[in-house]
Amino acid sequence: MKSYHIILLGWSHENAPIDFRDKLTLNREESESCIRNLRDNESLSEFAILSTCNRTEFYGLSASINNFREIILSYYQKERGLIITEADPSPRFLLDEDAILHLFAVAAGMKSMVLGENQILAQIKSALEILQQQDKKSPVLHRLFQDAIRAGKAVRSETALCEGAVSVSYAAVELGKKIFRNFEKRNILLIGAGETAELTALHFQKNGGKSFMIVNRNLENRNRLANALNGQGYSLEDLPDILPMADVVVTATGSDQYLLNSELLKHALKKRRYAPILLLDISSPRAIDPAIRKIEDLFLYDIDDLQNVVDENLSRRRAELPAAAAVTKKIAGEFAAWWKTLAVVPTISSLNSYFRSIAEQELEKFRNRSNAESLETARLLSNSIIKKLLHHPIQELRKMTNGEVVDFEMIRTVRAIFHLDDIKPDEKERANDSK
Amino acid sequence: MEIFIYSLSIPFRILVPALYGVSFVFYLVYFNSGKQYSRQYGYLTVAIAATFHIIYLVGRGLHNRHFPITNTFESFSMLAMSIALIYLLLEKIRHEGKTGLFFIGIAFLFQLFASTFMIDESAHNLLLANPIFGIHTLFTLLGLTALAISAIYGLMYWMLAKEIKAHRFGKIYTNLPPLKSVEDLGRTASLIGLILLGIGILLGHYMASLEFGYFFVLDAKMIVADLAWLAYTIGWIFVVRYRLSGLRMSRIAFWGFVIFFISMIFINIFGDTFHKFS
Repeated sequence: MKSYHIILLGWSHENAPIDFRDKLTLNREESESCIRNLRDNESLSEFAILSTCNRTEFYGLSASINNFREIILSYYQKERGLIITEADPSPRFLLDEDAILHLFAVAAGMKSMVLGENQILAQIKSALEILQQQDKKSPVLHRLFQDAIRAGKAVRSETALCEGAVSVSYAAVELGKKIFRNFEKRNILLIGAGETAELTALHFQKNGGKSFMIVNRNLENRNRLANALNGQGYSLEDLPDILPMADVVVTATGSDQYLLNSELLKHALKKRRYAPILLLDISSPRAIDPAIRKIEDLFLYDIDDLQNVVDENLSRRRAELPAAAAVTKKIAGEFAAWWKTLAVVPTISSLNSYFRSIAEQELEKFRNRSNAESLETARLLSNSIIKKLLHHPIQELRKMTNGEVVDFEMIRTVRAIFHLDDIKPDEKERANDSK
Repeated sequence: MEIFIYSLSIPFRILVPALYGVSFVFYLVYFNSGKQYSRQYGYLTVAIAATFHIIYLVGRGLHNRHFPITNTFESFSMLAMSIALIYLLLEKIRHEGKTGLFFIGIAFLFQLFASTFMIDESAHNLLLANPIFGIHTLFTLLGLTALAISAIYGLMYWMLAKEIKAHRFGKIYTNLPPLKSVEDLGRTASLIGLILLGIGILLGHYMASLEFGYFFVLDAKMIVADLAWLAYTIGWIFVVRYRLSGLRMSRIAFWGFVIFFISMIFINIFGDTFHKFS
């Protein structure tokens, strides 16, 4: 007797190095084509792919556990000429509840390289879209991915797993928000026009920053970044004049001396009537004299301070893992319950409909030969016989929803014997049976 | 009608603090979790509580034929209502509910105390039966409450700024609104305070002119109130005109109110003033 399983086979940053993961990654078109090809395989009832820069995972509904691995490995061999051997990193291989829980944890960001990151949810939505576009429908995996998205959202709203910045530039933005609420009317001064300055500036821009001033010795770099941010370029000599206008100052230079000192900043503060300034020194060596920490209304954070913020946020996120696991477990339980009843409830309804339709047909033949009273008696009798006949088969089918594995083969046999796939179950009966 | 309203006084004595308590719990949840629905329920509950509170105090006033500040418990109840009303107005204007638990918490405690020990006192200063005097007192109390709330926002700004400066990311950092929001709340509270206190002071002078025939009376309490209002107004104009902000402003808001409050207490205890009603 065959039993269908939800199977996961995949590689991620947890079990494979980046070189190997790069070989496995499938883009959207490749994923679509892979699903189309592999769905023709008889042993695969349903099939889905989740491929991101950090993980490539294959989800299937199949009765054949061992075949699943072979199918995937031969796909890579055939399509990419990639032979995956025992010497390569072993894939993660999970079944049923473990596979469900794994996908839900992935959706929640619990398995991400940066714990609690949000991008994965969009990637799972994209995988679901690909699945929906396929001609052959995958009802179980469709629901699995839908519930994974639900679990991801629930973890994000019910726990603090995804809260707090976990990158230095994002931590800088969060700090700015805690002081200025938003950056719409704030002037952001960048001292330095390198990659780090640009990345931080882009984070500010993404969070509403509009007014940028860029100070750099190199005219070309200064103008390039000023153009990119729609800002204004200045030379280092302009610094004392423009500093009082700046609400946020980001220094990301390679200068070997302090560019901002107490004198300069005290002057700036006085000119701006002591409105606070957030100073983010992500230079190495530092470009802001640490002695300015003593000055009120100046909030100075250097690279170590920002890294501490990130570390603290990450440890807070780690502390949320048990709460997040409880949320995913609850939704996984709901999915598993649905999956077990999926095949059983319509079969019970169809069985009832099938037997009742036969009884109605036979009663119809006697309609002209009997009076209403005897017809009603015969109807009651037939109903009673049907109930007794179906009692044990329905009991057996219902028992299946309490077991660990759904016996899809048995359900198929029942449906084949009575030609149940030709019968549309009565809605009223379906509702009764699902109770 | 007044008998009907007064008949509600007993159930309202229980209902009003209970509603403040429920609202406090909603704001506590919002403070810790940021869930918007808690803020909405908190605001709704405090609005209902304040409405019942007004009915309750109006009922008492009508029944006893005096403005309800004849004893400590009535004064506490008035204070609780003022805090709730000013807070409701602030949240409505600024759309910021993260500080609700502090003010509604105080309103809850004051009203709980007032409801528990409330007594009916028939003997009172005749001035308290004058409706214009009642309105003067109400506006003055609301104005002072708003200024006190502004001072508390000054203190919050101060605390949060210190946390950010010291790189401490505890409850205060995580749950209080941004510095700019705290500053805006404080400024709005002080503006509301100046307007309401201004109206209260004007009505006080009008009462004095009716009583003594002079608009300006040489009374210590009135002089201090007038000077404090003037100082606040000039300060407020300076802050807006020169866009002053930051830690210094928050300290001025806090200490300004503390000095004003202490001088009023001092005058009440040691000063020679007609401004005593109990």
